[in-house]
Amino acid sequence: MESDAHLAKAPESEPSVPPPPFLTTAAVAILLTDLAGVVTYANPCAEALYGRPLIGLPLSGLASPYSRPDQDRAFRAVLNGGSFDSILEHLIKGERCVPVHLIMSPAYDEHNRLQGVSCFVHNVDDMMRFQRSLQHERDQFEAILESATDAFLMLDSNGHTALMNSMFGRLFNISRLSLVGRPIGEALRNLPHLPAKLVGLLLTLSQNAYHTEAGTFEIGTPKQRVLYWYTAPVYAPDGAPMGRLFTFRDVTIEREVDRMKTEFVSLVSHELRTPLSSVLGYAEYIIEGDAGPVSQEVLECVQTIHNNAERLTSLINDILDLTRIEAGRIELRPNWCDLGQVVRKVVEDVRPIINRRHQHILEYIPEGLPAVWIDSERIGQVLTNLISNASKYTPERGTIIIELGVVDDLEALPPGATDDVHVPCALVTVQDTGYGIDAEALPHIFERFYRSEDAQRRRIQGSGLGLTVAKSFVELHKGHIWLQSEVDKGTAVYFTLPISEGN
Amino acid sequence: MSYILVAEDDSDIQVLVRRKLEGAGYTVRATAYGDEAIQLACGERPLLLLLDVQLPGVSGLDVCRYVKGYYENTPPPVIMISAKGQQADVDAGLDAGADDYMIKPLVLRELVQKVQNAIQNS
Repeated sequence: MESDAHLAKAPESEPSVPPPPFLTTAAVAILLTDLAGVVTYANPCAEALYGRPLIGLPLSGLASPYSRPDQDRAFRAVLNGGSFDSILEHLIKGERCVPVHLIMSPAYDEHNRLQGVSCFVHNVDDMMRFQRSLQHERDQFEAILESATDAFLMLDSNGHTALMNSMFGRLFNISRLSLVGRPIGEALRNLPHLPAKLVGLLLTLSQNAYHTEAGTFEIGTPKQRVLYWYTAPVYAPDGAPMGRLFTFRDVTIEREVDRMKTEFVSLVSHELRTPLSSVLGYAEYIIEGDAGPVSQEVLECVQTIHNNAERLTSLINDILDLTRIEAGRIELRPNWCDLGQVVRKVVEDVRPIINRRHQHILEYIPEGLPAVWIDSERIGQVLTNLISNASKYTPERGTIIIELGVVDDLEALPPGATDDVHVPCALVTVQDTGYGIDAEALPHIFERFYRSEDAQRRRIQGSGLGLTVAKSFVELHKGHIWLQSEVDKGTAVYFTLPISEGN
Repeated sequence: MSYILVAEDDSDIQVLVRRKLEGAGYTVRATAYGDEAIQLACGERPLLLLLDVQLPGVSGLDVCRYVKGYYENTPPPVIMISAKGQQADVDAGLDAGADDYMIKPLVLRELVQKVQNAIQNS
């Protein structure tokens, strides 16, 4: 054990030149010791810090027992020409043990003789507390990132990897070491086993500061997976660009469930359609007279069987369409089409229904309409649903109007259009002089299986899917659909289809 | 004797189609199996083939391709029948050489019309 004898209180040293006046008003605690480590001068700030007169006390005694050995060692080193700048624990006023920033340097008298050590002391308790809470926040933040089931990767504005969570590492079998802190291009070059799609995504978007995008892709290694990705630029609170964040989510299971759902619905639909086919076929056979003459009553009964079988078929088709649309499995087969021709064909097909109700149908198809890039079968389906609705919900002898046009100006759109309609576009209007739709029913009108109370009261047949399917197909074409209606006056359904310029 | 060959595995539909076509004056031979359809068609040249795409074993598409190839100089007309919504089936049928197609559920009057047109055009 080292002897502290040389640190014991020394006899009174020679009186030296008084310290300059500025030391008394300095806002940092300043001490001067003699060669034995006894305080020979302490400014008022120091006495306030330690809460007691310090002259004659050993510097060593100011340190907590924990920090004392380090401080003593450092003191001796400073006397030998070293310096000390570090944080230690000192016992300050009120018997409190706090962290202080201590700077010690050799002190020379006016004859340039080593006379002791000068000390500057600053209470850093608050600062340390603040640092600890920052660290705590940072730890919390990291804990959240680490426990997230999404994979995160953040690039700073220089294209270096700033941050990566362990989910990212697990998903792509990459270690933090190989990415964090390095420029992304260089890091990726050293990781040849990564899926090309991931590399492509990271490289292209790391060059772009502003883009926000999302998508999905499949990877085969390390396991077969479908991943949903999202990327967006990141900004500091003051608006300065900080970099770019990439998020990846494993959606393999969701996709699988979707696929199973579609398969199930397809299978069920097929099973349901097969017997329906027979019902329709045999009913038609009787109606056409191929089974021989039948009484009027029998004929009417069989006609009813046929009608209902047709309704059922429609319903199954609609459900199958909707399920496929939801699962993202509808493939449109677009072509350049003459919208007027599509309308005329549909009107021809529905004419028997219109005639049966003694209704009038008027077509306003202007000359020189530009061709539209649409799946004519699906848009035909939309029109059929709208016209069939118009007919059903209009009394006998009512009128249905179909109008086609091109809209160049957002102002020229009929009321009720949303803000995001792109012009120029083709506009189709199907208007009737029918019962109209109640204000209460309007917000629900496109919902699946929704039938308004009015429709039910009037015993109008319908599955509640016609508008839902129409909306889905219009939106798949990147169009918009909406309606305006007044009770007892009629309803107008509008839908737009984009016209691509050029091409 | 010239006949129409019908390959359809749903027996109710098979019976219905037979009755309708016989009522329109044609002779009909029907089967539920693709391989039997090939045997019949190659045994004696039919006037027309009415084939469902989905048959157990050998598919309607295979029958179409085989028979068209067998009678390469005078191929008989083929009408394919497929379930609604299977656009891919329709395309496949036309690719395999079918002259026309119908979508289920069948509208009988339309069927007779298509059969008559196809026979006339060949």
